[in-house]
Amino acid sequence: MDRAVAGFRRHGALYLMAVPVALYYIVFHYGPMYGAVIAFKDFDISKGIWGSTWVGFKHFTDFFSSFYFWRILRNTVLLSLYQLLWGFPAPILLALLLNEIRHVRFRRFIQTASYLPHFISMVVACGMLVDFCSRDGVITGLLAAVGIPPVNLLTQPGNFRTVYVASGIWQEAGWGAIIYLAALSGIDVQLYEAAVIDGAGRMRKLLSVTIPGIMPTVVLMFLLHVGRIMSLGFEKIILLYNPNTYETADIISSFVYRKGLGEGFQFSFTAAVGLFSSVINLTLVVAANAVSRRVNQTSLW
Amino acid sequence: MKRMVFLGLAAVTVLLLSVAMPAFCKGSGESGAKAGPVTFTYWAPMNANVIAAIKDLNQNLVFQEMERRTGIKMQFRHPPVGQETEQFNLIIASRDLPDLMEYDWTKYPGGPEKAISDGIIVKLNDLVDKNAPNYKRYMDATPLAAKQLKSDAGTLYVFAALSRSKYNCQSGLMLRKDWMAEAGLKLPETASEWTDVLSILKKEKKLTAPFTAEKNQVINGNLFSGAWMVADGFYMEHGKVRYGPAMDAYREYLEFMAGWYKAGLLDPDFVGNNTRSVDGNVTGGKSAALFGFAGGGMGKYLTAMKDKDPKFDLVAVQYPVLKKGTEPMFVNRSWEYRGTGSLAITTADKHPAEAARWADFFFSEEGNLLKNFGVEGVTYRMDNGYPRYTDLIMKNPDGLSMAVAMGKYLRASYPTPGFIDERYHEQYTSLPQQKEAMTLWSLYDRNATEVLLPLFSPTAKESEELSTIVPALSSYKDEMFVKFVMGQEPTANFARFVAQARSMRLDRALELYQAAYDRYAKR
Amino acid sequence: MAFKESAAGRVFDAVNAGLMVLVVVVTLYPMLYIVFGSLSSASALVGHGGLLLHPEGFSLKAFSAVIRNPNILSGYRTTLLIVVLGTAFNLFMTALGAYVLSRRGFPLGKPLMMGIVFTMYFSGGLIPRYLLIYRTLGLGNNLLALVLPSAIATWNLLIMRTYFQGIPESMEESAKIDGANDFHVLFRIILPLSLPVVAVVTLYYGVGHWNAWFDAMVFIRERALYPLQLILREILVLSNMDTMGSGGEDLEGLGENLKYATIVTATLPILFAYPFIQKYFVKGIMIGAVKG
Repeated sequence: MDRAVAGFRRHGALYLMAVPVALYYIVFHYGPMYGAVIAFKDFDISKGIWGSTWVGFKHFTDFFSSFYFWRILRNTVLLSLYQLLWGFPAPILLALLLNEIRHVRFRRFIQTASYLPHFISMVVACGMLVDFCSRDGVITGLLAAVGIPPVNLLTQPGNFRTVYVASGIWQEAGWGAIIYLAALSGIDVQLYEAAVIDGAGRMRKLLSVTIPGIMPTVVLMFLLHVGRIMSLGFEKIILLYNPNTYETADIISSFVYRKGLGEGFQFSFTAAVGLFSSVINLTLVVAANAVSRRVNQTSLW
Repeated sequence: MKRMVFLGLAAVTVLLLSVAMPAFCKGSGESGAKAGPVTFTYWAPMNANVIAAIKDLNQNLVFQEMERRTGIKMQFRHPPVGQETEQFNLIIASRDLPDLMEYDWTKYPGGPEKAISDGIIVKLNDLVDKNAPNYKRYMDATPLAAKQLKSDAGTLYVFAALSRSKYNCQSGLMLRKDWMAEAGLKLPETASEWTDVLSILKKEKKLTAPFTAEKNQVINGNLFSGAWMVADGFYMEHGKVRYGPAMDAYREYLEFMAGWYKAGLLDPDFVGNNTRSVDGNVTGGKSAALFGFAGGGMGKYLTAMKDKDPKFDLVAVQYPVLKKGTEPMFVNRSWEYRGTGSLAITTADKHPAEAARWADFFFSEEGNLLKNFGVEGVTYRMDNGYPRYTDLIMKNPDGLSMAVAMGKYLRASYPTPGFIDERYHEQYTSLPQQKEAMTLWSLYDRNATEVLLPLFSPTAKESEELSTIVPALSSYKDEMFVKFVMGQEPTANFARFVAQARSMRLDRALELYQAAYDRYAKR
Repeated sequence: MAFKESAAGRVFDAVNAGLMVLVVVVTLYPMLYIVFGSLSSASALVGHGGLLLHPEGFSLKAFSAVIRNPNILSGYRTTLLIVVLGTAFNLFMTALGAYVLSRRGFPLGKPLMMGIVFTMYFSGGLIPRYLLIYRTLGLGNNLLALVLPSAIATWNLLIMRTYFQGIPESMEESAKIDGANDFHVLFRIILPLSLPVVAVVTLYYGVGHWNAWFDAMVFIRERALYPLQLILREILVLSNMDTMGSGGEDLEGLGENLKYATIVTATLPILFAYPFIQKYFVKGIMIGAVKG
């Protein structure tokens, strides 16, 4: 009891600070969480959540036994992994390279330009992409100059992942670099000075001061991205795919979207699929976090 | 510094509350004590052309006139344009019902009958018998429409948006009229004539995409499949539900299309085509033929090319057949009952009889004129009994386009309770080619009523089961269609394709649709 | 920091500069394309393929269609209000949370963290949330519905927390020894040292509010209270509709150019505001210089 009181006295202010935060999560996140059960029910919008009939794992079995289950699962995972592999380092690289530009105005200009694509709506961005990748499109033309035969790039299933990931980098690298630029700004200048005194050149400074300095941010962002692997959105896919590229392009969310178009939005099925994805995501994050804890001594909790 | 921060935060909180309070008070004051004239809360989706000019329908001439005549005030609730379904679902879930709702009630999960049994809307049969003579008269006189808009149990549930227009088909095939004239060609009627015409034009004009259309239209649009009397999806054949791609005749159709692809008559990039691709093909002189709409297609291209190429001209072509002289069946028409824009009275309404009488007005001649043409002298003038729009609509002095002017003053250009009038159709399309197109395409639209899936209502259980079969089946069919047509899969494997479709529970889907149809037929 | 620049260093600088020019071309040009498109006439854009190097058929009709909309001004006003007040509130809540979760000795730290991270993966869905906010809390048609439920974005919370964790504990300890309490430490020491992350998180929340439309779609009834993005979306539906567009003038403001005009309208203000944030991404904080 004494220990509790002493603890409270020491961390009193912290407990006080924690109250609004905890309250927020309890009211707005845990409060509605009972709704997750609609994945196990046949949700009838007029009966409400409690009134709808319980069906257990029916929606899950429906999902797992759909004809295209393995394909959409595979495509989702592969597309996410490619995005992680190529798209994750891109903003980091950009931030590091930007950091090396000495001329302040030039650097600011590049940085501002680089994030502009983030604000181009998906519909317009994909509209441009479809146009540029068409048979006589600009990108196709550029590729033809290096010997790639000019065909409509988006009608070939083999190209889909490349187009998807590359365009994703174009659209998000600049915006994603911002967090790393902030992290770079946070590195103590004294560490650089000490390195210089030790006779470090640019490469050495990069390796022993800069990279370790942004590592916590990199690890955090990596863990957060790992936790989104299953959650690839449908909007971009829908705008870029077609029946000829379904075999590489059709993912979980695009398939569920098409399902909702025909016979009306299937609340429960969508919830079940979402729950399935979340469980996988969380498992991946926990695993990645465990690795990170062992290797890096950084952990999300 | 700390003090400043706390003061700042206090200021923020105060500001937030002060912002919230007026909105809170303002927003929640809906139907209070109704002393005096009757007021209804009216939920209606806003058409984009309307929202471009006015904030809510109380500023629309039709409703203003109605209020003047009946003394009934409407309090409107409009969902954001494009998000009607989401808003609708939330209203149902929270049971926060307005008195009147305009919506496509056939899309209510489980069907319109369920909307009644769930206690959302009221059955209208008695109300109509007692309070809606015009509506009743129409239904007695038009059994086909009446069948469409009653539920399986014979229940009337909406004051429907109906079409009385003879122009029920707004889309179809088109050709470059100028090129046809140059080459001395006649409009093709049969599939093989189409092949000839396209081959000739391809050679003469060096076309890279003689026939072009958006990917979904080619794959699922019933553009040419109708010639073989099958659809690209589910359709009716003498009262039985069929799946086009599983029929033998479909194989011949596939071979036909594959032949086109091989000969370069079909746009080689069709599988990736969106609207812009088609636009590019048509305006860039790469295509001679396309599928499109009278307004958004034909109108768009004729306007765009007016200055660039004065010779550019489009002509509508009739839906194709196999044997010359036969009539096309698979015309891309809309049903009389449009589904969307239909008015239901909810269980929250305390004055259903008045509401019914109010809605009934639109089904009278006078009401029809008001809804479609507005107020005489202001928005139209009678010209020998034919209502002609005034310049307020056609050449609006505030610079509003015709569509937006109509949105502001009338309720004509999108489905609303009442009739869609052909005289509106005739005046809205300004170019003669468009009028010809609508007339031509709608010529045989009667035939389509025998083959298109009618507006039947699967039950909630049926819908759910269908949703486990149909999406996967459609994906498979779309992919295989593309493979067959592009030659990646030899049409000899058609039997294997059908067998696979069957194994995806096609027959069960047919059963379910048949059950819904049989109930419909008995209405 | 004078030191000799090696030859390899100069080559690298040249290559880097060239690379950055490429980056600018690839990212800036599409925006220019959009600006040109927004100043073009719809019919001139029909069928136009490839690059836009200048407006086609110069026309201001697209912008006029946007500005004419009766709700555009109120949209800007509402959004501005929400961005300012909402972001301030977000920062306050997030800073509190990030601070608490970054203090090592705090016994509630780990369970709180786990509870919060859990909510990133599991939620109740739209309907329960709607019922909570609309019915239980009675926030229907109230702008607070756009601010309170999104008080903390866990993503941003974690970013700030990680940054706070990077500040040496010695700073806190020496302040505490001088008699400071946690509020003092947070507001007088940690936050001033964290300007870069505060800038980033302000940007994320600010842009989030600026682009938000979904919650307003769900909760706000009156068009006068609709935020900008919702109004713009409505305008956009106009250009997507397969209207019975008669030939001619109708088309002018209704085609592709309208889509572009809405993007320009939505993005321009952000471009103006961004330099204020950007100056915080400055190299080199002297941790040692800021002492309690």
